[in-house]
Amino acid sequence: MGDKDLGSIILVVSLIFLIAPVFILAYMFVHNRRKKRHIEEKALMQLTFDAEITKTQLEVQEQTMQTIGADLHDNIGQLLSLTSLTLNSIELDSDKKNRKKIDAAIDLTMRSIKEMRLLGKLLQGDQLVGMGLDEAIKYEINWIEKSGKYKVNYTNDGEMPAASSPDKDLILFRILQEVLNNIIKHAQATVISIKLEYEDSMLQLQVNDNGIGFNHADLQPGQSGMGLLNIQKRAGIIGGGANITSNPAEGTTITILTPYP
Amino acid sequence: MLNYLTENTSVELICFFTALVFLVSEKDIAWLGMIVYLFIMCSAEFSAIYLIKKHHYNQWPYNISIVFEASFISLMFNSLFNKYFKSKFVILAGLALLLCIYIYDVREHHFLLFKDITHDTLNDKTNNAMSILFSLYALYYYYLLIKDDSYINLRHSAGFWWVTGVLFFYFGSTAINFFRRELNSDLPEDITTILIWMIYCCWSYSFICRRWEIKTSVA
Repeated sequence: MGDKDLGSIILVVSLIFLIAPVFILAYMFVHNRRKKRHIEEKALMQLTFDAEITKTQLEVQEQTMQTIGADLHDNIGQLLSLTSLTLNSIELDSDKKNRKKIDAAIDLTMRSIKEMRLLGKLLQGDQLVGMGLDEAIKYEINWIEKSGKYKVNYTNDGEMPAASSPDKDLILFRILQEVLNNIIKHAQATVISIKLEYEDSMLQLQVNDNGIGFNHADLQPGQSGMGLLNIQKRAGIIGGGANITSNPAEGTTITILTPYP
Repeated sequence: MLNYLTENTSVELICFFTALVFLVSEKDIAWLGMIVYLFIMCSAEFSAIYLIKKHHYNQWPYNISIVFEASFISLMFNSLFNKYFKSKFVILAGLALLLCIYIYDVREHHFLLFKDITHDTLNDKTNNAMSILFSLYALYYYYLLIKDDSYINLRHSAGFWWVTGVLFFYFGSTAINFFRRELNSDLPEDITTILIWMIYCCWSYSFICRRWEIKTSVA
């Protein structure tokens, strides 16, 4: 190899050493721009998540208000009217008869208090979930069964992890409320089965009813909007998914599967 | 009258005055130390110009300034690394390594002997080791920046531009130092001048960014 060749090689190597930092610098800027975009996307996702939570809370608030209104009118209102009637019919000169009427009034008042307590628990969704998802579901079932129209079977398979996720619990609970609300409104069911199962860091919530069911293809675009779409969207928020299977006259099964905690 | 204003000294002076203006109220000792370091480098350059004209040798000012170069740049890297990890031992180990090579160079070349040895770079090995070490530090700093989840605007990051100057100069110098003797032309000197301009321009900009950073953090 001649001196000229050696000189050329050395020159090329030196040039590589001089140009390499330019490429490193260019890479740093490209990577930094990507990092910025990633952070912005993350912030946007967080914002969307917060907006969804707020929206869900508002929807549930509205739903709860309607339930309270209906319950006050149909249930507690009736009980208090009866109490008032009973108290009005008391004749001051008939002790034995009065005793019976007072006992009936006390019984009606006690039932009103019990109803009020149940209603209060339903209102405090966050506090309910604070006791654990399992307990919250039991309260919800208690509320449904109170109407006397539904038989609810609930099973909890697999031990729940010690570390819970209150945010996920709340969203799962709201999904359950949405599903039960749909059953009450549309399904004409008599038996509801709820199954909560935890296995391999995955939590599954399954709700099944023996109602009239429906055909996905028959649903109008607006019809599926609020109910089923909301269930799928909320399951997506917590990194899970919702599977809805239904056939006319065969009831409906909704399965939510999400990583947990 | 000697011409003290060469391509190298002009850019060094610009950088020194930029540091003086923008870093004078600095609280971080490493950044404040840049003023002292640049003053020493300018003094060494002017002394070298004087010596080469009057006595035909000028190696010893560089042999002294290299000690300050290693110390101040290591101090700055320590300050930059400290944001990510406790770097004291890494920096001290690097300095210890440079000191050993420097002592070897001094013993080999009879350092500070006032004689005509302009064609033999006294601190050859120390220079090479320093170029490699600081290039590695600079690349590692980039790696830490990439690994860091938080976003910083690189265009206005004082630390980033300071390290970029270091990377350009020392990474480029690594090849030039190794092949200086083989490249029998003015090319190494020309490239070195370009590298000197690059490091001092990057540093001047980093001093301005540093002032912005402090102003922004105070506001």
